[in-house]
Amino acid sequence: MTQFNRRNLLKTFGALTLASSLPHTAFASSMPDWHIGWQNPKSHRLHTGALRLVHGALPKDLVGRFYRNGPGIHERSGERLGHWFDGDGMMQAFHLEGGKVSHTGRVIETELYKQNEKAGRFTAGGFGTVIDNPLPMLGPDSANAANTSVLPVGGELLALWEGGSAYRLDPVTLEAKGPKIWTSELQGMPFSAHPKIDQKGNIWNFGQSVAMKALVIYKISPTGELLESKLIRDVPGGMIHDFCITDRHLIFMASSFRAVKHGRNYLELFEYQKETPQRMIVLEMDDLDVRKDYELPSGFQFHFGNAYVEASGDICFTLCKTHEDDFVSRSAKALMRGELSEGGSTQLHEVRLAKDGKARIRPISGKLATHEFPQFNLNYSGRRARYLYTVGKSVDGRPGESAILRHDLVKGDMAVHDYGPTVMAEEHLFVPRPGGRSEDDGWLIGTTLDFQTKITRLNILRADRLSDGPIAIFELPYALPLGFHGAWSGV
Amino acid sequence: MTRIRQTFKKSAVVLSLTFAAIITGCATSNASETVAKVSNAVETTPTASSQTLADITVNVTGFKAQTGAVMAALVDAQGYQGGQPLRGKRVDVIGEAITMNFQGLPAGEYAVRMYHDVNGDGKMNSNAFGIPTEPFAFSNNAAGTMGPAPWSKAKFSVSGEAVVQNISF
Repeated sequence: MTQFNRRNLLKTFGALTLASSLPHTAFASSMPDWHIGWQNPKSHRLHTGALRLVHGALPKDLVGRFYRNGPGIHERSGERLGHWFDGDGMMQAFHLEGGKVSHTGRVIETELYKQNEKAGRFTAGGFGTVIDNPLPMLGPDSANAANTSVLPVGGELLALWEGGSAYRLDPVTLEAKGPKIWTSELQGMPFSAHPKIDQKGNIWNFGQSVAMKALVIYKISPTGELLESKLIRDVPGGMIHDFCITDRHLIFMASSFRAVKHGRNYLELFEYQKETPQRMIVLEMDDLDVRKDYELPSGFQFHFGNAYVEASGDICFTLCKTHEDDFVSRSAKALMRGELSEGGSTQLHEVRLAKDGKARIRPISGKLATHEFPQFNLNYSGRRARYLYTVGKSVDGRPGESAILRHDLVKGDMAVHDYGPTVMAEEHLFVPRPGGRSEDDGWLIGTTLDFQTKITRLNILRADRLSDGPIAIFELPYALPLGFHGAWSGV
Repeated sequence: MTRIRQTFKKSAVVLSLTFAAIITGCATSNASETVAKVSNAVETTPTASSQTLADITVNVTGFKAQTGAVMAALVDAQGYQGGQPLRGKRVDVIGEAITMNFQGLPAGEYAVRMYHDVNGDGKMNSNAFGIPTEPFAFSNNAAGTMGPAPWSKAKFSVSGEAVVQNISF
């Protein structure tokens, strides 16, 4: 069983009425210590005016807000969600200024969250949970947990999901202001979690309909106005989570994890097809009607690094390839139950799309297993970047990765900072230093969860001296549930 | 001014509820299509019968906006699967609740499906992926998973006695 084990168990014994009176701690205490990353925060709203500086000092010119989003509420009235991707989103905001850092966290008040709170239980399983008695769902936004990523634009903060609308939040208080409606025709359309910013500052994004085998493309100005939208048809129904851009192309990869079945949630529609190639769709930014398709052997990935066009005309990009659908179909469920599952690791690969229409893929991972959450200096978006930053290094007997890595894609070597065996490292963003002179002149900023001390930390490292470790560490007085993606909003 | 370039072929809009349609296995007979047929329905006078006829009162609440109208259809099992509705009603949304009546119905199984035509254009609007953008509902407040509620959940019996359905969007 993948969902609500406890509830099903209680039901079996005819003791369902007990469920709501069971304290969460009874459940949590039977879990391994690392499971704190998949438990609820201590409150739906958190605020700490000044985090404790435990190491180094905050650079004076690192001023702005660091946002992170992720599933926050995994458990209600003794029921646990069955999949990591389903919890109500919780936005975290770290405000860095004058040597100090404050933290504000707030569960995003989506329609789903309000409905869940009113009912005192989970009422929809959007991605991978099966809910026993779901409430009416009028469309994908009925299950929109707004729990995956974040985009600051046009004076608003957009909390992003994959299957429905972006959610508008106040960038300071994090109060939710309802779904973003770009136009009436785009109302309720999916707006994915990995928008890309091109060299002109325009924002590109997409949404996928596996039923229609189509994508919707969005082009948004730097100030948040919709410039263009377009429906792209004949896109195989392989799950697409992220994409990449060169300075003139949008590149989508319809994976071999295909929507071919009926199901009780989104995940159940999909099946990994070992014989089905991945289909790449390359669109030209200036004319979205110009398209070229490529194929690669079967595969699945969540995240892409940067892409660029070589002098030869070949398109190159990096991605974090998972082993089939191990992680999304199994590990991400096992973690919720406090269990580990085999085969969830990802490896860094480079893809080359040659002008002759051939596509090649090769692994470029070093010795450390697992690389995820790729990031780079966004000033190099769509151009050749030398450095790629990922979390990495798995540790036996616990999930997640303990290190932050800098990959030198030219030399092929790697710098590592390992936070230690009891620490789970989350995505680290590259923030360029104002007036910075080189690609790696800037900082990496990211959170880590120490499951031994049950504390989340905010870490700042120099990107060009990553192996030296953090130059500043701030400690929160609580643990935050592990999140997914963040964004930096400088001043 | 920024020019918005939007390229959607209206005729090509497939009424599929993205993943919804697949979940419920109703890629062709989906909620928006099912409900949208309301507008074609014609109020008919029941024919004389020796059966005891009954009235159905439908109370509707839960409007997100005080605009437009509720478009409702009374259907039997056949009509629910996409056939012609037995009766159709259009009632302006004024206030928190509206009531509509379907009178003189012979004994049998019925369902009501409706949508709130918020902008009053007489159509059930949907986005470019075919996802309805106006609220819809079914008798018994029956719900589907990302699509229309199944007949088995939306149907109710009429047998000579007056029936009241309370439906909330």
